[in-house]
Amino acid sequence: MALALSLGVGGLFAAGVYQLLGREVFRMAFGLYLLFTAMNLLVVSVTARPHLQAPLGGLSAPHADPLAQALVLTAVVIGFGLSTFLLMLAARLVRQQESLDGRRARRWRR
Amino acid sequence: MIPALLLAVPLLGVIGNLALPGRSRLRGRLILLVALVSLGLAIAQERTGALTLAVGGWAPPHGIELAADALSRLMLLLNGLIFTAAALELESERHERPMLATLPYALLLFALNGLFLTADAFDFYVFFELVAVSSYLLVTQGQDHPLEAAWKYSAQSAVGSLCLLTGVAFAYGMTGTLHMHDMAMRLPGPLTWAAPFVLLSFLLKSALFPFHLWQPDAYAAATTPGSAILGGILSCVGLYGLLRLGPLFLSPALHLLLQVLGAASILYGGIAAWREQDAKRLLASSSTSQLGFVLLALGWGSVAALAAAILYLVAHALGKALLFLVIGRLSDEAGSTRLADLRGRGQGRIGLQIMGLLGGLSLIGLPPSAGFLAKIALLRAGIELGAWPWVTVAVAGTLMTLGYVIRLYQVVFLPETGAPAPRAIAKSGMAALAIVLVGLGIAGAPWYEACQRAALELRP
Repeated sequence: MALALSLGVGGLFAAGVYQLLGREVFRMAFGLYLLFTAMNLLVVSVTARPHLQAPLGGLSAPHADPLAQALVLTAVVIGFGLSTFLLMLAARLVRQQESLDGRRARRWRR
Repeated sequence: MIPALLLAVPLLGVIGNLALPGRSRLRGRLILLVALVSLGLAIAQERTGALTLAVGGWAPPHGIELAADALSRLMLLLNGLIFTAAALELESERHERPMLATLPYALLLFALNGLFLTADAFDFYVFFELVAVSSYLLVTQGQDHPLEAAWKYSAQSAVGSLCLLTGVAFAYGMTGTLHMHDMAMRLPGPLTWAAPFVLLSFLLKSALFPFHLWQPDAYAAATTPGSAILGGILSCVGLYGLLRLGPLFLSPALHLLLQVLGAASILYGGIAAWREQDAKRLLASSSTSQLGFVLLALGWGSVAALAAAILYLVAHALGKALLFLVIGRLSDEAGSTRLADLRGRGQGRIGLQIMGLLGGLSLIGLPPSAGFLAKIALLRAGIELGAWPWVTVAVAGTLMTLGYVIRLYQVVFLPETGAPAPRAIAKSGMAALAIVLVGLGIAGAPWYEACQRAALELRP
């Protein structure tokens, strides 16, 4: 399980960074979304550890830690919202520049 | 009760902003009202002293706690003050789309108050992200190529926020708690291997070398009150986070790294500001340099150095917000932020000239201003530790500051142009900041003690 999660995080992270380093704004926004997903998976994997138990109610080992799930859920929502914002911004930028290439912007070159 | 009100009032401001009819000009006044109430609450908080509130009645460490310790109270005061000054400026402006132009301010006030109050590491991340998104929105509403600047800023800053989430998750995975104080208790030592994530995130947010690339564009794109908020209070956020969460992650070796990056920021920012041909970008690069001093002092790590770092953070925020308001006012009239277009614009404007001079003096660290006290405390902390190479860098950085402030002042205020008589303008926001700046410089004892108390609370 740990190996599968690590491979998943690594793969998503690599894909995200590759996209982020590209020139097209939509690919960059999508790369960021992949990075968010990689990090959410990472949060799952570091918080799903046997010594972490539900802090209330005295539930022990076979019960998952609900706090970790709450964290990931919040992080998923934030990541989704932020990606939406970035995509909207990218769309406005593309319409204004009439180009997908972020570096054609005058400011970008400075 | 006060901590809850500090969150509830700005949130009501956000709701009010959305509820007002589309073109209503009341929005600026609403922001001003909310900022004033927030400032009043922060003052009340400072007078009552430490207050904590366990949200929903769940006792910490299981529940979420709002805690106003000395550092939080200081930052809340600073936040209220800078927002009041910026809102006075915002209120006097006309906007094509009033809702979009004013909404980011209400959101930012809420998010920053929350960030400074929370004692819960995950809440800290959530507020950090909320601050970030609101500030992207603030930049998109700017005037000088705002979309490119906002894109650059948000794409880089989003990576930083992600890294903060990762750091917090690692700390939670190791300790099983999210309460910052409880976390520090349960950790056997600093989580050095998770430190790069947290460092990246905080250095990016405060635009320190080598993560400063987004910053001049974003500051130059923002409107006058927007750049005062960005340069004043938002630039503090990363270093505030480092003060709060740093002890969980930073080992002695990393303190050396902080000193190196601090010194690099001081020198790089100084040179960049010296070469800059645009007034707002000059002030932005100067932020990289000035916050480098704070990072340097954080790297020293003694209680005196921490107190000096907090003093410096506050003094820089006040002085930089004041300078952005002054330069912003002049560049709004000139229709350009380029130094060449601003030549002689401030000639004969006694009020603006005095404000600009005070802000500049504080930035350099000369009396009678808050910056003087902060600079002396910082150099003394360094000399006490015998850190001579770093003190030399700090003095060199101060000389560079002197250089670019004189250059800015010379270009904007001195040349005779024979321009038409300036019209009367409201300067109440700038005046408020200038009065506080001088007040802290002349009667700075309570402020100095508050910073010392904050440093002692951070390093028991």
